[in-house]
Amino acid sequence: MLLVEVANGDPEAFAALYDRVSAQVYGLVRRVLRDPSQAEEVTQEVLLEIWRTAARFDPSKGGATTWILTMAHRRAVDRVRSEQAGRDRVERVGASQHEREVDVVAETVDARLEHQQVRTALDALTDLQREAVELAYYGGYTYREVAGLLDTPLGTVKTRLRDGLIRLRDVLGVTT
Amino acid sequence: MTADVHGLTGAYAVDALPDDERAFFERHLATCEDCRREAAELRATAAALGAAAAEAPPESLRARVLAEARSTRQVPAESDDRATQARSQRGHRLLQVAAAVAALAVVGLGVLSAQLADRVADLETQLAQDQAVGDELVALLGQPDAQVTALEAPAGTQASLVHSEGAGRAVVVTDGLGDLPADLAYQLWVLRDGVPEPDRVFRPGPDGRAVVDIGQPIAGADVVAITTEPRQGSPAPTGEILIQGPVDA
Repeated sequence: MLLVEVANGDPEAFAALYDRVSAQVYGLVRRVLRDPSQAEEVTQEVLLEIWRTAARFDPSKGGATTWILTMAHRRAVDRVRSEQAGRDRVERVGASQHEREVDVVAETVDARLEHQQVRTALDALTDLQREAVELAYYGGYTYREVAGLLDTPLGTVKTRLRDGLIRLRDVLGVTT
Repeated sequence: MTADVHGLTGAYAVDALPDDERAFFERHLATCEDCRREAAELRATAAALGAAAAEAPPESLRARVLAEARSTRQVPAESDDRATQARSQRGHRLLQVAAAVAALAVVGLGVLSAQLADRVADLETQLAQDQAVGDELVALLGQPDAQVTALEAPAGTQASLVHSEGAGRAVVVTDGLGDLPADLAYQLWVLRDGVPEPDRVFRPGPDGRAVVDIGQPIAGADVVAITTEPRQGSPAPTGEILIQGPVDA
């Protein structure tokens, strides 16, 4: 398993890992951060963190791709939240603008989805669930910010996120 | 809020929880197997969403990343042996404390005008006190049963609980704690069964550093927390919780 060899310090294994996952990391980070040069920086940080901590990867807790993309998403979100105060981000996206925001996210995801599976699975969600999931995941917003953007109660957003992801999980057949 | 906690798995899985709620939820996860399982599945689901957004990075990134890896040390696998973990944590903390004390020692060098002499005298007194505090902390860390627990803190702030049953002492160490207006202070609380007992009131030193002795015994307590309170302290917490963590990790 590639991560095991990377954990042993094998530079060629790490190069192979880079070739396998860098597009997934960069694509996700870029979606959240928007800015390509920041996306490059965070991608580099994530890949170095994988190199640094490969020995800590615990396969009993989930797959390598999950570990890597969870790390990538976490770092992208931390960066976007520290770069822009939360209030600024929500206020910048006014009522009419937010609709465009959702459309932009949806179009970009549509244009770049490599996996027909995921696109089909997203179609299985209600519009409201899909909207909440895409804003939170690809937009990097907290559920409170999503509630503000969609002018929806906090509890409703939490429920839509959970129900939407559960539906995605079931349609995609995700197990751990 | 308690009734809602199981419903947070979705927000958690897409990193949509603000830091304080995430810390709260992670503490819940430690006690709830159903949520642990669901959170893991929903995280894997979110990762599938992530993979679908793949886009090739610029070519030049590859060489930079591989080069940086060559000069980056890898961490070993986590030791199951708690004593080994505790020892390496202590070693790390000793280095941090030594660095903090060394940084304080920079004060006092150089040629100073008469007007600054008083200021230097104040700082030297402060330094001597700080060094005494530093020495005591090092002694505490040297105890064979010393435990160091990281506490949840806002971004830019670090906090740890250092506790030795044998020495009967517990100390909270902070770095990067925010400045406060003159009418406010930070206050430590020790929680047992959800009930907060008031403890020391303090204001941070330079760089938000503080080493605060916990006045009451903490054996058997659940959580240590820090809130912002009026300068003289409060009998019960009035400010929001800034920092918190378990007494036993």
